[in-house]
Amino acid sequence: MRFVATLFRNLWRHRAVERDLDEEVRAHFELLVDEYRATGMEEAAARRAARLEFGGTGQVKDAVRDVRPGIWLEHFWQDLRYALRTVRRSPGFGVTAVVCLAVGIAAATGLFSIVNAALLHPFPFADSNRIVSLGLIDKGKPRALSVTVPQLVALQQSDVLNGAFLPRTVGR
Amino acid sequence: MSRRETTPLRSRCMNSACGRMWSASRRRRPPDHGVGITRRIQQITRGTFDVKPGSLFPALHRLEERGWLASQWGESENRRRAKYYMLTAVGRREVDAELTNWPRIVTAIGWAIKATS
Repeated sequence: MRFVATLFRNLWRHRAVERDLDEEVRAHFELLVDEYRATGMEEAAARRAARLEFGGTGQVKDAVRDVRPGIWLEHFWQDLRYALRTVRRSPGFGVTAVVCLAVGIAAATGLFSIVNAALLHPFPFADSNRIVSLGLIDKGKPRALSVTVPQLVALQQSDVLNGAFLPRTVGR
Repeated sequence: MSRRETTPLRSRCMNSACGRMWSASRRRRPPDHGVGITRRIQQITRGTFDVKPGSLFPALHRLEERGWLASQWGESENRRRAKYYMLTAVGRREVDAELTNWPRIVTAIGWAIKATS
């Protein structure tokens, strides 16, 4: 529950959270300066000593940002905006990238469908490309008739229909 | 600040340890700001732990996100605005739990070192 609350605060009140961090860092720094000044240092020397002790303010703030919940969302958003900016600046590059991706994905999926059908899931009979299905169509009747065994034998023996068979591959 | 007994430890993995150490020392104390916390840790560890803001800030914020600490803006002794941190009820409970475990951890690490050296 608390996690959700802080996540919400970090994302929706981003500016306020950042301002607070800014102020906290500055306040910490000023307290350090005060401390060094109290030891009798000159203003400039005190500031230098405080800066030395504090280290880089940017790094400190980054370290704090990294422990916030929702930092990944923030990073994702930043990346997305950066990408969009880049594309807008050089549309040619964007189009090229999209076309490359489209062609690449199409080629890969196309090739995979062939491999999938031919190698991974071949029809479970020998010489499956020679298997045909037979059917008879009676003109005027709505449905095809099935072929009986005697009809098949008769067809095989006669040469009337030589070359007239329309082979049709049987799907699974 | 007291005299240093050893060179300060500054490893990054001490981050949350610092927060906890300070929390433990804070068991029954008023809120304190970042610089105060740093000085307090230096003092109670006799200079062993010199916590830089780069470690202190993330540790405090992590403990606050976790609900162990609460913070509020206040004014320091020399009338400067500063953010003050204090233990919450949850934090106090967690510190008590850690304090019970700590001697066991120390003893166990002692055994481990003795066994491998």
